[in-house]
Amino acid sequence: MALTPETLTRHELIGLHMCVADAPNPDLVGISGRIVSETMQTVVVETQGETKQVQKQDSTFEFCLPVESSGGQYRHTNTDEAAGDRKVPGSSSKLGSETAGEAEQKHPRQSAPSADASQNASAASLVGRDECEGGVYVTVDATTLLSRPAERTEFIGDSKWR
Amino acid sequence: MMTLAEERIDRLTALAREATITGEYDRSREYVRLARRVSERNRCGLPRELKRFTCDDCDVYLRPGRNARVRLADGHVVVRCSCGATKRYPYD
Repeated sequence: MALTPETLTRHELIGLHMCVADAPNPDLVGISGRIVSETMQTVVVETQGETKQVQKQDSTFEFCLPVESSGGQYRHTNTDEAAGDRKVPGSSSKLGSETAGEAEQKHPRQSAPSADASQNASAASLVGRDECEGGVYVTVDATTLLSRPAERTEFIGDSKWR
Repeated sequence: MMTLAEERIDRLTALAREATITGEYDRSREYVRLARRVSERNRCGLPRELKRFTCDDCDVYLRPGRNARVRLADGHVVVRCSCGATKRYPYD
């Protein structure tokens, strides 16, 4: 079970590069950096030597996944070879406004100012994007990450041993 | 095939090691505690590296020469954390 866009919400987020595409607080939009810590409701991002805590509720995050075919920075990257050629659904190879736009269309309640902020966010992230070149960018509605960090991996449901 | 939980623990091990190398011991503690919690929730155990080179008292990842000292004794290895806690494991 490698780190893919499908398993991202159940996988370890610490260590990944992330950019805040949309957040209820406009000051948080555009923060990008490496995730250093995670709590149930927030994610702590390290940007240029300082850490910033971003809430998950009602935010949209853009993650940069390391490309695994090129050796990878992690040891266990043995992917399913047969499934390797398949086009990965729901992810794009470039960080663009089109993915952020899709995320916004999912949230019609957001008003025009936040759309402006999101445009600023993609512009800001374009500046700092060189740190994860060649990665796969995944836009995630961060409300799906609302869980205790240790329990996100599990499938939710009743255990048969109960 | 590695499960998601095992891979997560593996990644946290690497992160804890890096945090200790850069001197961020509290971060290292956080990652070790999270890895332990994931392992107990998913009943998958911990890798031997994490069992032997983490402190049972303060949860920091141990790096011999940096925050741990390792001594060879009769029949076992003694790893002492800089917090003073001692851990032993046998030769095998």
